[in-house]
Amino acid sequence: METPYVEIIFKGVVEDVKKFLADLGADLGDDFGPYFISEERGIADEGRVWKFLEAVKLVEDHTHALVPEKDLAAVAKRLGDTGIGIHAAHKVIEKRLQFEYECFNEELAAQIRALFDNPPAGVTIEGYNPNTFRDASAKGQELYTPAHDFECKGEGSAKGPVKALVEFRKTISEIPQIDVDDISLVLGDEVKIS
Amino acid sequence: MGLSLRLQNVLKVALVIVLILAAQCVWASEGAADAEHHEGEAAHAGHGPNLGTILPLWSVIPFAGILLSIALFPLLAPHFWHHHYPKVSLFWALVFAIPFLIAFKLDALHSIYHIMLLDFVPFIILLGGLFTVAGGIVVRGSFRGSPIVNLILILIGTLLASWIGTTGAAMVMIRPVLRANAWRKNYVHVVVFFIFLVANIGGSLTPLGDPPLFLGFLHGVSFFWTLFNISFQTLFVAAMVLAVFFALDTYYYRKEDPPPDDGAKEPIKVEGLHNLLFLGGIIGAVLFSGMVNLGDVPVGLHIMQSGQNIARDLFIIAMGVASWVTTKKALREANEYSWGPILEVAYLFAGIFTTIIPALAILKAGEHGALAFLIRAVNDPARYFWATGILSSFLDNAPTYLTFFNASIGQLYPGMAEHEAVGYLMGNVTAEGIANGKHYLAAISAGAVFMGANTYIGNAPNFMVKAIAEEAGVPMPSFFGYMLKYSIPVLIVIFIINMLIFI
Repeated sequence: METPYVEIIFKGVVEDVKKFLADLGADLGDDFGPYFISEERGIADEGRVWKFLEAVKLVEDHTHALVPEKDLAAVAKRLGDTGIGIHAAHKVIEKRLQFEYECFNEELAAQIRALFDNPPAGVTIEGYNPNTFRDASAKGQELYTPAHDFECKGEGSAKGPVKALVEFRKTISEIPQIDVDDISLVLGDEVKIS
Repeated sequence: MGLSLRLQNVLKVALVIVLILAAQCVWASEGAADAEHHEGEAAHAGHGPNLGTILPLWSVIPFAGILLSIALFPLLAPHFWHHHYPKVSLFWALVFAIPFLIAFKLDALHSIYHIMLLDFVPFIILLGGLFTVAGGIVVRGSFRGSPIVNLILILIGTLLASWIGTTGAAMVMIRPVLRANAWRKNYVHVVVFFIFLVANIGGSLTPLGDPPLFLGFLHGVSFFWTLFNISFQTLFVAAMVLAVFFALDTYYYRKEDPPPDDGAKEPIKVEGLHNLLFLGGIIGAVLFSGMVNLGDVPVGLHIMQSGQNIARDLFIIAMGVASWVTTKKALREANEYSWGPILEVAYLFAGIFTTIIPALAILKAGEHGALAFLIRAVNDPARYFWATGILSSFLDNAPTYLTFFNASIGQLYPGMAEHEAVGYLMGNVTAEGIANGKHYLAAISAGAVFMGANTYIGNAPNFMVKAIAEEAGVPMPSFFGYMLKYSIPVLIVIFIINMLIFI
């Protein structure tokens, strides 16, 4: 059974929110979490424009985090005297990670394809049609017609539990030939935390 | 993700090229509002029509077409381009040549024959000779890509570039650089700075270094002119770029894990060194053709080719054949040598040299030609530096050099024969009331060679290095990534400082 998560938009800077959640985790041990700070884990948040506006103090500081639904009561209880507030919280209905890659080295292409052919437990790959193209005439050096004799391309998306998807994103984003988007969220009803 | 990465990149590149060309036109139009047409006024009496004063501006469309094809097709449709580029080149050549021949008959035939025989053939022979000789030299060994080792490898390539050509130096040095750094996670910048220095800036000192300078040599610029007149610029720019590289590489190197101990080390050695003899032969032949006068030889259609140039070309061919025969096949295989690059240059430059005829004629006509607005607007060395450079960043730098070389002659010495004007342009000949053009020529030479590094499409070896690196698994930046992360913050800043000091 997949752990249900809630996206909480905290009012506060990321360092304070991180400390708040870390302290909570330290007190509650394995019963708490795992939680994920969005901007550290490649999870979509309000984006760069909002970050810029925060930096120039035109809007309040927001920090997005995904927290297991079971831990909301603990979060609410601890908020009291910390100075950190909650702007909004919503149930996470769907998580999706889109990727695209282009590679001209056979060995590396095999490594990349293995990642998507055998995703980690719980992660499913959708809309993925890898395409390998060979053009023997393009082997060797070219000056003005730089075609590759081997090309491997693919694009698609991955779905799965939050923890598995976050870890999968970290793994594939370490290969620079793979262009990975932030994990996008489909949010459901607002959750009251009090 | 919508549009594929390649399509997005292509659209961005096309947009930038259009904007750059538009900006250049707007810039060139400044001060040209009072441009008048003087068609026919400056016709050379007794030498047939002066095509430069008659040809309309739209006659340069095929020239623009072939240059844009070379710039855009490799990004837009690389495999189509790979298989069909000779047809595209032929298409643009015919689009120009057929109406040109119909309209001007023997004069047109004379123009085409003249440029093919006196420019195209020696150009291909020199590039072919240098490429064949350089392709027989192989650097082997287990290098460890530390900042100091990378600095030395790139410095060697930079020094080689002016003597074996930027293409040859890039071909010889890129694999050792990639091997040395294969263990590192972050070494994209090493390849990018290799492109800056080995594939471009290093080639600025002799006509052997970069095709634009050889075209200058074919048009009368002496062999050592660039060495004596832009070597301080080259030294300054190369030193600045190397300093930035060393700082950046040191930063990234410190973030790497310790290098792995991968056992036996291959000793460092250079094989095929006998090719240096043939390289010396090519340099000697080019020098010989610049110093000796063996008289003129008729080559048809009342065109004369000088005996020393014919001797030079035959000798370069002999050096290439000697290199081919005496170099082990294994060495050429180690460099992945093939005739492909020379065939590409031959096919594409046949088209370029045909279609460039109206542009050169119009520019030579100076203020009497349809590009009078350009002549009036680009009117000092700094503007020549940037105009030549920015166009060389997006179009091939050899025809761009020739275009502005002719623009400067048209501007400074209108109506003067080229061989006479080039003496004044080099500053070797001076006369009361006649401009000394050496700062113009220095600006054009530096702009064309240095700024070929600004984009992947600025100079042919850039693409070659990018492709070899990508096939080795290096995640090279996109067209715009290369510009935004590297060439604009590093090169453009250094070129501005260079302009303020030297131009």
